[in-house]
Amino acid sequence: MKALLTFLPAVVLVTLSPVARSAENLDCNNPPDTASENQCADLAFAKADKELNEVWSKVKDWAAQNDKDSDKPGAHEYANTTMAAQRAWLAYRDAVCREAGLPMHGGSGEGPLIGNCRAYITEERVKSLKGLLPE
Amino acid sequence: MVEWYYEMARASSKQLESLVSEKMRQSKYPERAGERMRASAALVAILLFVTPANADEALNCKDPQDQNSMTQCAALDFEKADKALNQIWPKFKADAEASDKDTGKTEYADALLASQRAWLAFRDAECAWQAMEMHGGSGEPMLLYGCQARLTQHRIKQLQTGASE
Repeated sequence: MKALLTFLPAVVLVTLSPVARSAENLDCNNPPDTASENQCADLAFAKADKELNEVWSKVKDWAAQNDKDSDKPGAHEYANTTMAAQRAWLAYRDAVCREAGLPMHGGSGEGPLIGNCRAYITEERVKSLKGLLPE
Repeated sequence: MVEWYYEMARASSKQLESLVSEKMRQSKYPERAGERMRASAALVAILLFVTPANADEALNCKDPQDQNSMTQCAALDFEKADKALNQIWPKFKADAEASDKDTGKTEYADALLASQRAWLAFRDAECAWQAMEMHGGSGEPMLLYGCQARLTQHRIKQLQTGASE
C-alpha cells in the first residue's frame, strides 16, 4: 500500500504529463507533425460542432414556434422542413469532406484533411443558421 | 446563328446596317444575298420586339419595385448562377478523372459525383426551408430562387477553392 501511494503520483504524472504538455504546446497555427495536425483538426471541429449544437437548438425552437403560430399547427411543416434541411446538410458535409480527404486517402494525412474540412463546413453552417434566426 | 440575331437585336438601327452587310459578305451564297437580306431584316424586326433585352429594360433588378419584379430578378440570379455552374462542371469532372488515371480506379470521379448529388439534395432541402418564411405567400418563390442562387454561387466558389478555405 505504501509502495502504491509512493508510486501512484509518479505513475499519474508520467501518464498525464505528455498529454498535458502536448495540449499546452500544441501550436495549431503551425502544427509541426501529422499527429498535431490531427489534434488541431479535431479541436477545430469540436469547437464548431459545439457552436452548431447551440445554434441548432435555437433553430429547432424557432421552427416549433412557427408551427404553433401557423394555420396548420398539427402538420409540423416548419419542424419537418427544418429537420430535412439539417439532415441534407449533414450528408452534404460528409460527402464534401470525404472528397476533400482523397488526396491523402489511406495515409495519415487523410484525417486532418477531413477534420479541417468538417470544421470549416460546420463553421459556415453556424454562420448561415445564425443569420437566418430572427433577431 | 442565334447569337448573331441577338447581337443584332441589341444593336442600334445604325449598327444593324453594317452588321447585316458584314454577314452578307461572309455568306456562302452571295447570289442569294437579296433574299437573305429580306429574311434577316424580318427576323431582326421580330426580335427587336420580342427580345429579352426589352424586357430587361423594364425590369430593373438594381431596384425592383414590386413582388413580381423581385421574384423575376431572383429567378434571373439563379438562372445565371446555374448556367455558370454547368459551364465549369466539365472542368472539375475532367480534373477528377485525371486524378483517377494513376490508380485506375474511379475514386475521385465517384467522390465528386457523390458530393455534387449531396449538394443538390442539400440545396433543395435548404431552400425549401428558407422559403418557409413566406410559406404560401407571393414572396415564397422569391426566397426560393434567392436561396438557390446564393447556394449555387457558394458551390461554384467551393469547387474552385476547395472545401476548407
